[in-house]
Amino acid sequence: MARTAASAHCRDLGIVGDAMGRTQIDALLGKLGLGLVIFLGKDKTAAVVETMRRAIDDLRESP
Amino acid sequence: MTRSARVNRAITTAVKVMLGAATLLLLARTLWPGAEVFSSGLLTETVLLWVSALGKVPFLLLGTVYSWRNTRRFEPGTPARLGWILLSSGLLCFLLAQSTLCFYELFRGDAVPFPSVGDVFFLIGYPLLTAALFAFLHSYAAAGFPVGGVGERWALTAGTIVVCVLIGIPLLRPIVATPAPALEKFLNLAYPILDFILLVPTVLLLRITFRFRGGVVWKTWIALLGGFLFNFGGDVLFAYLQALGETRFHYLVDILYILAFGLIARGVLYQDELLSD
Repeated sequence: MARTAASAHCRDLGIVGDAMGRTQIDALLGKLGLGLVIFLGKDKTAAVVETMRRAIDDLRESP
Repeated sequence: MTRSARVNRAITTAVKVMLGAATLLLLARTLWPGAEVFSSGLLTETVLLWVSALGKVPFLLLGTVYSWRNTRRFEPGTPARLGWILLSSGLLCFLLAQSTLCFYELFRGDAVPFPSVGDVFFLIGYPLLTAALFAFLHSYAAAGFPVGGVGERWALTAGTIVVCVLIGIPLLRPIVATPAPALEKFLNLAYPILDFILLVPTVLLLRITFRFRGGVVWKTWIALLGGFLFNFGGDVLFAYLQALGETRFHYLVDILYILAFGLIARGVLYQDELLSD
């Protein structure tokens, strides 16, 4: 489901393939956060989304 | 692991053990009523009555307390909060209803009157549980999960209604035909009908839940919805046996309710575990 939901969000946001820009990443994380909030609540979702954002930033910074 | 998560895990294990033990015991009594263990004075009807009564109340208590705990952990304005509030309220009504039945059976030693005060709580509880499931459905859709198109959801609803009609006609016919006081007849008809209504959001949520296979969300929702399906089975069987005046299989009805409330408690505990982890 997580993959299905993420794919649906990617499609809605016009993300094709593996490459995506900063704006698309932020928009995708926003959409994923909306789904997670149902299961985790607002505070915990914010922490999870922030962890994902940092992990993506680390990937972008690594050579 | 936090202390809260450890307590949760211990309770979940206890629920599994109690669920398994109570189910096996009552199933054995139904299948082999003449077995020595049931006639030797060890597992008397009184003991089985306690097992059957106490196999339900603790699960409903756990479900009520932990679903309320889940409610408090979703901040105001969170889409799923309303669903948890309604679920907790519905389970509280069921807890009060089952406690009333236990009071008659265990402490007054009477057969449970039908109708009783318990029926008032059951009748309030069903709409609350139905509303809870619709609130969860709404929150899934609002969060952007692929809940299916409007046409697909209507088709699933129509399919469920057809199944309900197919089950309902042979089930409700003897209830209507059997001479009984008006209130008793009304309740015997009301429970299956309320169950049919509850079945619609259950099936719609099951469709979404199957897409979560393998994760914690799957464990939570398959237990919760499985509980609602067993409750449906229990009510249908109860109404049918009541209409036929059949008493030999009443422990089967108890087994279905024990499985229903046990699974609901497990689902609610899994959600608590998800929030505690």
